[in-house]
Amino acid sequence: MIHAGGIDLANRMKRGAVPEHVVTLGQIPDLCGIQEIGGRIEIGAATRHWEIENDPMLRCRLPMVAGYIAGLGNIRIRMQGTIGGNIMAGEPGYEMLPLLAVLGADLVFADWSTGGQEITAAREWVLPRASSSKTLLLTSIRIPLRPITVAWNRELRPALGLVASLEWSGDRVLHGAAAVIGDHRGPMVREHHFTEALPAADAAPRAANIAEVWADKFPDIDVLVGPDRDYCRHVLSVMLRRVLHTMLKT
Amino acid sequence: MTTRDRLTIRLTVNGEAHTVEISSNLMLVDLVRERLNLQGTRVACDQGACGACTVLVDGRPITACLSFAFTADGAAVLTIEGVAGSDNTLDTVQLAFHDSGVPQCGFCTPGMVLLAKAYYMQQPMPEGADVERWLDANICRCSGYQVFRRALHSTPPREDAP
Ligand SMILES: Cc1cc2nc3c(=O)[nH]c(=O)nc-3n(C[C@H](O)[C@H](O)[C@H](O)COP(=O)(O)OP(=O)(O)OC[C@H]3O[C@@H](n4cnc5c(N)ncnc54)[C@H](O)[C@@H]3O)c2cc1C
Ligand code: FES
Ligand code: FES
Repeated sequence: MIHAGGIDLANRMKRGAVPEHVVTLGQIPDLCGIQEIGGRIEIGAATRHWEIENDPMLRCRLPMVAGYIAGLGNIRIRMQGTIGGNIMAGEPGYEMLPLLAVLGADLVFADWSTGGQEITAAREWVLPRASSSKTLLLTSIRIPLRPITVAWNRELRPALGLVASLEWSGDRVLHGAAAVIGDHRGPMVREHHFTEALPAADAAPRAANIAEVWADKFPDIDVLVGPDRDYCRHVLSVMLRRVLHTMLKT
Repeated sequence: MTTRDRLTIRLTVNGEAHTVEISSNLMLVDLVRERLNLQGTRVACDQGACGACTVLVDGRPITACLSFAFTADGAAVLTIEGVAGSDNTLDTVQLAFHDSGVPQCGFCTPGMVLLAKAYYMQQPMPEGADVERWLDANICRCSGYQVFRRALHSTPPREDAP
C-alpha cells in the first residue's frame, strides 16, 4: 500500500485495514512539483494541495485550479494531503478527479508489474479501479492549457457537487464539460456542444435553458441526495444553471 | 516496510532532541501524548475533522491523529507545551488569545493556538478574510470562534512585516 500524505491510509487502518507492506512516497523529488511543459502543466502526484494552490506559475496559468483547491477541506488537510492521494483514494466525494476530468487532464501511471507507463484520461478513470489497483503508481497529472473557464458548486458537499468548464474561442463559447462530484462510479462527465457559437452576452439569460438540456444528459446519476432521481436531476439542473451563470459572467 | 516493523526515529519536540523506537503504525498524536507525555495535544474526532490534535511539524499545522509518527523523522515538532518561552513568558499569539478572553471549556484551545501560530509564522500581518479561512480548519464545540478571530486579528504585525 502506498503512503503519500497518509490521511486516508491512516483513517482506513483505524477502521481495521491491515496492509502487509507500506511504501512511503515521502517527498520523492520526481513525484513532486509543478512545471509547464509545452502546452500543458504537469503536476507530480505527491505534490501537496497547499503547494499547488500557492504555486506562483499555476496561479498565473490556471488560477481557477488554485482557487478550487483552496476550498478543499481545510488548511491542515491541504498541507498534508496530496493530489495523487485524493485521486487514488477512490472516494466518490473527493473533488480532484472531477475537476481534472472537465479540464481534459490525463493521469500518468507507472505499472510496477510490467515496468511500463499507462496514460489514462481523467474522465475515464473509474473509482473502483482507483481503490483496487495494487500495481499502478500514479506519477503525474497533465493538464492541457486551453482557453477555458471553470466554475463549481459545492453547497451539498460531500453528497453532491458539480464542476464544469467552458471552452472559448475569442468571446464565443464552443463547448462545455460538466462532472458530477459524489457519484460512486466516478466523475460522470457529460459534454454540451453549443451548436450556435453563442456570444457571451446573449448566453447568460439562457443559462437556465441550457442547464435543463444539459441536466438531461445525466439520467443515471447515483448520488445520495433527496428522495428520488427526479429530485437529484432537479438539484443538478440548479447547480448547472448557477455555474453556467458564473462562467458566462466572467 | 511492513506494518509490524519497528523503526527508530530522531526528531526534536519543543526544541528537545529525542530518539525513539516506534511501531510503524504509531500515530504522531500517540507519540506525543503517550510516549512523550505531552498531553496538551487533544484527541476528539480522531479522523481529521476537528483539529484538536493540531501540532506544528516544521512550521506546518498537521493533524496529528492522521499522521504516522515515522513521518516526523528528522522534523521539528511544536506542541502547545513548547509555545511559551522557556521562562514561561507567553508567545505573541498566546498573549493575544489571553487578552481576547479565553473561551469556555478550553478543549480546542491548544489546537487553535497552534493553528494561529502557524498562520502568524506564514503571514507577518494578519489579514481579514485570510484569517477567517485559516481558522475555519478547527472546530470549537463551545462556539468560541469570535474570540479566536478577535485574538488573531488583534495579534500585532510581526516585527519583520513590510
Ligand atoms: C477532514 C477532512 C476533510 C476533507 N475534505 C475534503 C474536501 O473538501 N474535498 C476533497 O476533495 N477531499 C477532502 N478530503 C480528502 C483529502 O483531500 C484526502 O484525504 C487527501 O488528499 C488524501 O491524500 P493523501 O496524500 O493523504 O493520501 P494517502 O492516504 O497517502 O493515500 C490515499 C490512497 O491513495 C493511494 N495512493 C496515494 N498516492 C498514490 C499514488 N501516487 N499512486 C497510487 N496510489 C496512491 C494510497 O495507497 C491510499 O490507498 C478531506 C479529508 C479529511 C480528513
Ligand atoms: S482529533 Fe485529530 S482532527 Fe480531530
Ligand atoms: S472552548 Fe470548548 S471546545 Fe472550544
